[in-house]
Amino acid sequence: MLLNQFLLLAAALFCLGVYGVLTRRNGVLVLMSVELILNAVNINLVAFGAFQDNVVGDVFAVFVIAVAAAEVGVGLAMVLLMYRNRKSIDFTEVDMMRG
Amino acid sequence: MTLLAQVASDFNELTSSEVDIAQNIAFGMIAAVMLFSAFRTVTTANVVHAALYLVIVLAGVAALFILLGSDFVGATQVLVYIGAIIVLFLFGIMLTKARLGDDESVESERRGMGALVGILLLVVMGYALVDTFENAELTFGEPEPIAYVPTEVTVGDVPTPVLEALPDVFAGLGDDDEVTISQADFDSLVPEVQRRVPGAEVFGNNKQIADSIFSQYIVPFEAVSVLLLAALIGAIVVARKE
Repeated sequence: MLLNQFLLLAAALFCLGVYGVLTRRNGVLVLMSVELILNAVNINLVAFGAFQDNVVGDVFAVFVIAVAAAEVGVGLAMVLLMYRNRKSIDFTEVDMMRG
Repeated sequence: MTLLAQVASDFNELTSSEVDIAQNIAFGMIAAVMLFSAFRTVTTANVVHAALYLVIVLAGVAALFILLGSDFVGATQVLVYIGAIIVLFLFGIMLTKARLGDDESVESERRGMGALVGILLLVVMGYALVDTFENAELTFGEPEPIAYVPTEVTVGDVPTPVLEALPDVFAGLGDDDEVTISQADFDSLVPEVQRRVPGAEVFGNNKQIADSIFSQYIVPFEAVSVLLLAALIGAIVVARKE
């Protein structure tokens, strides 16, 4: 297997995630797109780890998974708070901090 | 002799390339399913369907990890992502009553800009990757020999394949007798049987991962545990009613 086939697949996943973050308005769906991006990074880490024949890539991928879990927990709590205060989770309507 | 060596090397060449073909077919199928599901995740109007397509993408990522020989990360991916994070997402969807069915249609302007950014990013990254890594091969090399510490075992506890492979060692012994399989006997076995012998060390690279997490990377590990605690408390504080 070529290293590049993994890296290009991860790049495609990353770009789909970016597209989702930019176009989605529903807060939960934006968080899902962020998960796509994090997974693309994880594929890169593990592929480079296998390429260099060491386990550092695996170790960092596990750390990324843990951080992603924390991020989803806090992110969904914020979406819930926003829903309770405004009865909407449309990210385009969030302008409370506009100067 | 040289002819024999030639044939042997040809045979090795053939089998390793056959393995490579099988790996490439597996990769192609996983990649196609993943790309389709990822595309549907970011385009489908139904919020619940988006979460279910995301499950397929995450399972595909776990399959890629296993294809790359990182079974520990693959198992973690299934446990944490598919097991926990997706459930969290489904709870988020239910609790926000996001009108199960539609993400109010995206304005075409935003969609156009998003597609432009995504495609530009893909072109730039793709060019950089192809230019840098051209035909770098992932080589997995010969599997390392299985380590073995000769230990005394009860005959009744020895798995059947090992008993059948070493009839001389176990001849005339009852189930309660104790026996030690010598290193020479162990070396005479094929790897499939070797890993069944009591005392053989078969942990793959999981042992190395555990070693580096709990020695070299102990500080990041502790930092992540504090981060998880902080995220837990933060989520409760943010989401609780006043």
